Amino acid sequence: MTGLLSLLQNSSQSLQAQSIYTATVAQNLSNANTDGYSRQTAQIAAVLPGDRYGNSYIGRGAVLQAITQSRDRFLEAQMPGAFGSQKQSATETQILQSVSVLDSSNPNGLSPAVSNFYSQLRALAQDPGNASYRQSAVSSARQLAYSFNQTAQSLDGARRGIDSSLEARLPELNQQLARIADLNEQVTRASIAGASPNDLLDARQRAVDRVAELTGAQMIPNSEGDANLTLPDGTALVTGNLAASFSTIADVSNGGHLALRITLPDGSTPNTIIRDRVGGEVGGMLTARDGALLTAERQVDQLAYDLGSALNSVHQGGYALDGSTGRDLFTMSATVAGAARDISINTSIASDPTLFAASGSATSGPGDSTNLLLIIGTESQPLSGGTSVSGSLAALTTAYGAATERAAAVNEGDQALLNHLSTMRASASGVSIDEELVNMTKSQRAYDAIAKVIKTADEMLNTLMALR
Amino acid sequence: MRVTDSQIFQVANLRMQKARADDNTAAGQVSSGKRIEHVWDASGDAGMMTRHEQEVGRQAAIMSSSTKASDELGAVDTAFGQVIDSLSRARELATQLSNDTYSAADRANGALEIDQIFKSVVSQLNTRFGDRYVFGGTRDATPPFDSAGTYVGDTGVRQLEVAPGILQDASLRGDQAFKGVGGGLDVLAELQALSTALSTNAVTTVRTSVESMATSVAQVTSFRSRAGSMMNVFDVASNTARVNRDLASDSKAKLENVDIFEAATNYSAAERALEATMSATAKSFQLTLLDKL
Repeated sequence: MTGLLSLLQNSSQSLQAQSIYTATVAQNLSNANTDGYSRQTAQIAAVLPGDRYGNSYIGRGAVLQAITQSRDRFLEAQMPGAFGSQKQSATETQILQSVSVLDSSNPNGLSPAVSNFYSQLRALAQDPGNASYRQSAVSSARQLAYSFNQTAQSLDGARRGIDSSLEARLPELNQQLARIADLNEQVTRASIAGASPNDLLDARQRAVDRVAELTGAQMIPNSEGDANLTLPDGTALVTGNLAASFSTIADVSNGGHLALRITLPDGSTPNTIIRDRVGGEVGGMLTARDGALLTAERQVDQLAYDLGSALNSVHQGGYALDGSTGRDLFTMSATVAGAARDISINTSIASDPTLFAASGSATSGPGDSTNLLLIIGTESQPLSGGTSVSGSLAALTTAYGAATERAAAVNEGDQALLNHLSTMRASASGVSIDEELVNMTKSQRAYDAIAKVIKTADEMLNTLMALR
Repeated sequence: MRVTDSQIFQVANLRMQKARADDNTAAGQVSSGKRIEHVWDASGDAGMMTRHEQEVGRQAAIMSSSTKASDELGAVDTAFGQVIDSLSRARELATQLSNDTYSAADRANGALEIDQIFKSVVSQLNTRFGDRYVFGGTRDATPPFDSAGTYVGDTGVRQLEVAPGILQDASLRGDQAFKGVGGGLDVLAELQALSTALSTNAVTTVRTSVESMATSVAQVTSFRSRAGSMMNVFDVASNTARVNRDLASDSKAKLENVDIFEAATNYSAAERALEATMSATAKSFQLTLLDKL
């Protein structure tokens, strides 16, 4: 009688274990498409020790031992770095490829403007006193200045746009950092009971992945089960249940563009961090803004300054139709910085093309093109940097294109690595519906069998009871 | 290797994206005909394209200005021809009227014709090309010769670029060609002297003028030859610039444009790859234990 009652009790316990097994399968199937979900496995084990009967032990059924997650720690450790690198190069590539002002196909670009300017000067050289040619030459000079302005504005606009994007990302970043710190605390509390808080771990991993995407942060797990995060240079982002926070400040030394500042988890005074110390999307933004875009901006400024100065220098030595001299062709800033943005045609020449100094003498007639030929000569002469105008334009185009190409190539490699790791992670931690269906069938059959045992035990008890 | 559903869908997405991207790139190249649309498509080639583009503009401008200079020298040549014709007529008259068979009245009538020739020559020397007087040096906005045949232009010679950094004279000085500045005869003064000699019936002076008219014709003819040589230089420059422009344009096009046959082949291959990826992906989705249980 006691044995049959034990059999009923043990079977009931085993039934419950199979039921949990099925529930775990159901949880896996429900989350088959949930990002960051790691497959869970109900570990069912025989109850120890068995009941002793004579010289033998009779088993006491099955019991749920634990519900574990399928995680590959080796892969998990590599994922944040892969996320950070891929996001950094992808963001940099996307930003650099969004700027098309330096494309040769751009009809309002610098190259067509420079070419048109010198072509109009050559046309004027054929008939320097001709009012129409003078007007065309002055218009082409205005167009050249405008093209410099547009190029500078486009590059600066892209850099300002990055500032806006940077500011827009920080609330999410700070929120995710605070969430990881909070989840660290929750995981610690939940783990005290000895159970693995799988869904909390998944939630924390998702947050870690996102922070890695945003900053290239690396995770350093500790023995307490906390997910501590640092920037690639080791700056702490999350320490236990404390999180750092990011903010921005206008950087006067960088044209007022936003500098990134960090308040460490210990609450210390905010420090400005340089772009090389942060990765991910934020790092990609800073790299694009203060890398290739800044270089292009400086090259355009240098070209505007050098070309404008060279043209002004020659133009000053020439004479207008009224015999006046010493006039600049372009109004320019005194420094290289901002030269492309500020350059404009001399307003007096713009309103009166006869003031264009084509002549080499105050006493010569309107057909004198001596100085005009010197102005045309600036096209072939090396500028202050040692290269000609077309050489400088080619260098500018090549440098920007090469930087974008490099970022795209790096991104291709980063994306391939991330795809590989993601596939590996999906293989290790993802849900296979086929596998879960097999497991479900397996648990269903076990459940049916145990139910049969209960039914048989019940019948045996009834038989015993009927003996009375 | 354990294969999961998320892995299957993830890999399917990646493969579809790759096939779509390749197809899109190939289609773009076929439809635009361009291999380089952005500087990052091939940065080194994009830089070279900028250089070629500058060269195309420069050579096109040189070609255009050289052609115009040649046209202008054509007008100069015509003027020279008319002046030579006029001077030749003056020489004929001088030869004819230096003969003793002609009377003083005949010579007075001849003087009237020489005066008309003088006016005609002055008019021819004030030839314009467009709005510009071609023999006035840099003072080309006003007639270089007044009615008395005095030169009021200047000594400037216009130059033009015939190749990057190389200049060529594009005008001839009227004072040198017709006023004898720098060595030679003052053609207009000789005409005036002939007219005076005829009107005063100074036969000896008229006979002397025959020689000076011949020298004048030779002098103007010499300058006409120089104009012809200059025209030739500008014609050659124009042709050279055209060739250079076309070469630079071809070089740019070679860098920028796709080989259409290669692009079409790539597009066809990309289309097939996309179709195959779609078929394989659809197949991989069809087999599931769900349908079997």
